[in-house]
Amino acid sequence: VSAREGRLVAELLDDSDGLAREALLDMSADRALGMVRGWPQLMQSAAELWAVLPPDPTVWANGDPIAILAAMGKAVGRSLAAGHWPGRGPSDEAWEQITSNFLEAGRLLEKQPVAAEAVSTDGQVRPTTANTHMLHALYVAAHATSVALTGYERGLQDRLEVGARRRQPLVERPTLLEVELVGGMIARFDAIEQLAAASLAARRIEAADQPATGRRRPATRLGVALAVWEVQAYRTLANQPDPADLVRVSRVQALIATTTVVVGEAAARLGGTDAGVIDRLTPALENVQLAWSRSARRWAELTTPASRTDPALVGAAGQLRVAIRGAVANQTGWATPDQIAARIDLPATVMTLHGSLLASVELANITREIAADHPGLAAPARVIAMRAQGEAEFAIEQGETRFEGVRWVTPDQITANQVIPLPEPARRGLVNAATDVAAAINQAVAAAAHLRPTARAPRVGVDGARRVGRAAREREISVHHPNRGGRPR
Amino acid sequence: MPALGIPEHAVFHRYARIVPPVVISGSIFQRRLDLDKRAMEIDTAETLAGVVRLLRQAAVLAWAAADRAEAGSAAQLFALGVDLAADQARHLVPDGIEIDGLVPAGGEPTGVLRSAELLLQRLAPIAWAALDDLRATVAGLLLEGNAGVGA
Repeated sequence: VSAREGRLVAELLDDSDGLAREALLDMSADRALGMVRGWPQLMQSAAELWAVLPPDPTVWANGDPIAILAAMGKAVGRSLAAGHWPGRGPSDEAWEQITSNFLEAGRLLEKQPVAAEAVSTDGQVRPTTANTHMLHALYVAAHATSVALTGYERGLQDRLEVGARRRQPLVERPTLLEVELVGGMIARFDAIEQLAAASLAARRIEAADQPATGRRRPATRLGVALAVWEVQAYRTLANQPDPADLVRVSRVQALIATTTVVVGEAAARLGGTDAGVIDRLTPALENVQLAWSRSARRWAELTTPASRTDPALVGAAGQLRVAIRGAVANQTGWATPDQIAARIDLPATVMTLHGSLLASVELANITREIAADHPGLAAPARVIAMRAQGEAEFAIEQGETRFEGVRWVTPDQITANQVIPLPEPARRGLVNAATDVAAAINQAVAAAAHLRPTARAPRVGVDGARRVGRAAREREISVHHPNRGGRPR
Repeated sequence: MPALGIPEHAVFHRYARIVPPVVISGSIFQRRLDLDKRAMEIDTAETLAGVVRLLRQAAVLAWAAADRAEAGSAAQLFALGVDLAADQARHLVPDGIEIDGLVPAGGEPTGVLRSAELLLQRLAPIAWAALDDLRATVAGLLLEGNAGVGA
């Protein structure tokens, strides 16, 4: 890469960052839909550029932030392609330009073997800052999308209220469902934004720690296993998953939530993390664990003796289990805080697990979408008969008439316990279980909003009282329960 | 005395194909591709199917114990291990071999795991790394279970 091309790359990254900042300043709700639609391509181009950027000595082997962000971007893309809100349509022009910039920068860097020093304008923009620059542009773009979506949601709510007050025809009003869908998308972009922000923060700490030697910090086994698991979970769920895969994903996510509690409590006990935040986070994470476990039990009902779990998913789960066991367990159960501290860098691991919590927002959403409309879902007839009947009866109690008198399974199918496609009422229980998971994660994300590694986060204030950060509710994403009521589980 | 849940019966030496699955893409039912086909005696395949049933039942019991325990129990770690061992065993069973069968009796997961281990020992010696891995996995889980994690 020549000096001129290096300068061009730096300029393209500068331009991208500027476009993202302008979009944020613009705060235009009108652009929200285009921003969501343009995100998958933008993220894909970022991943391609990242792959050819000079290796960054401050990136941990386990801390590649782009892999998981790219997986989340693809998940949004699949969601749009499947017709979920906001569906297909024009992309935001600025997002298209950033995509084009990233692709162009990638092409320039691909031309010749990478020379780390070359990606600079006047010797100031070094590879580390080039990578950071790109991450920063992504972070601002995700934040801008989230802000625009929030404005869009507010607009919908206003129109909904005004429409009801003025008794406008129903067709002219937005629906409550649309408001809920926008809320769901805000939660997804909030997680993407926070992951990008956490990666930036980690890079700054890392760069400040070891700028002179540039030595790579050794990857922790748990961090690597988590990263591998997350990417594999996205891949498996994107590739026509079997119910057995969803059981496995749910069970592993539940275990990750529990592990986060164990590590967080150990870190708080030993002064590695703000104890007040951990106190708030622990019950929220326990709810996450319980919600994933309930979801796992629901999906398990759909498995058959012949079911196979994706072997790649099994491999990743196995690695993660071994890593968790090695980090936080002993022969008889969880290890003591001192034992855990002797094995892993507690504050860093808390932050790694926090990143995993953020990424799980998307997994919950994908699970919900699979439950709602995956065409390949099927289950044994007896299970379907039981579940469909229960959900249909509940829906009828709620005033829905379309399920009245409908027979979901024939006697022959029940006799043979034939595997048949899942009817709509049977899907509702799965959708509700996934919605509960998303809600529980959102509450945990809110509770963890001020999670920081330590020295700057003393356990108690000068008055002896435990420090607490900004109220958790401030960060909490609203809970969206489509088709919900107090239905049976 | 046959191992728990596995009926004792004599079989002729028939042969099945062992097909370690590999994920590629496509539909739920087509995504796994046959690779590295090797002959496997049918009774070996059926014994492995019995191992799958035992491990799945052990997993059901382990998860029941984990779900009964308070949130955050370490029993999850053990239960997930048993689940993964069942997945591992399932992939060793060739297509066309019936997995369905009687649910093995047994009230606690380590007892059922022990039966699976005995059944694996009964298999004729086969130079097959995947089977050795499964044996090692089950033995490791038994150690965990006997130590009291989630059992």
